[in-house]
Amino acid sequence: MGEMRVMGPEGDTKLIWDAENEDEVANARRTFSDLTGKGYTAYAVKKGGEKGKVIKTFDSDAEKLILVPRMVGG
Amino acid sequence: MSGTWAYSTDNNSSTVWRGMCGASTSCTASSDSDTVWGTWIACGGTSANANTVWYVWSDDIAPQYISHRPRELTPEERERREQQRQEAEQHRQERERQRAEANQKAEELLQGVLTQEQREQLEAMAAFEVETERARYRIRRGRSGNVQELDMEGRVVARYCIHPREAVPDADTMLAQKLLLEVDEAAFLRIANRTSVRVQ
Repeated sequence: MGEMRVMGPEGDTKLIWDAENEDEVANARRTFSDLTGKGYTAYAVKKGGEKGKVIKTFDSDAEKLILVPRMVGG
Repeated sequence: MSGTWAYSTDNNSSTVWRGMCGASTSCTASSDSDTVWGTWIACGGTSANANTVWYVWSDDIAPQYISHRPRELTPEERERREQQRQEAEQHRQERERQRAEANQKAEELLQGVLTQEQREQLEAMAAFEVETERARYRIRRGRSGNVQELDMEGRVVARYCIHPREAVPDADTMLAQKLLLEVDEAAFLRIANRTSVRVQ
């Protein structure tokens, strides 16, 4: 199962998909594209604190994706 | 009123006014306008003091039109106010519950991405450290100005302010800072506002 966590004011929203399920993958891909199009950065991370990486295109095999809103200087 | 017209030939307006009072009553008026006003009041059977006139007017007349002091609420109004107070309190509690829920979710997400060492640091000192090729950073709990750059001795040499544009929970902000530092330090440094800290 893939997992996408999207940060937001109410805490993150979780979207999961089964890599074998085309509809779920399509839905996740669409969400990914919408949000990255709005300036979110997508990080592929692994459990255990390993360094993540930025991904520009949806990866249905990713273990966990974290989508972060655009960063700004405070 | 005929007296008014008798005095109206006088070319002094105060005198005309005085005449209005004098002719219709037995009051004696003087020539300045304050006194005329006072005289008029006196002739009208009220007080000669303008403040008192105001009080008389506001106590006896104005309440019919405006209210200058709180009046007793009706039982229906009291009930409505109590209802509004209870609704406001419910909304406040609901917001509080949502905030606590959001913080908990963010905390779980952050904990799941930290290393064991970072989790221990966070538990012990409400901050965790991130090492990059360039420097060592400490990310403290918070949203703005919470990232510190440390020198070799662990002293703070700079403070950075950078966060997601949306008002996400603090733990999400800390995770976003960690991810960006680890993956693209140059972007972090380009976006963040840096404040140098003098090393003592």
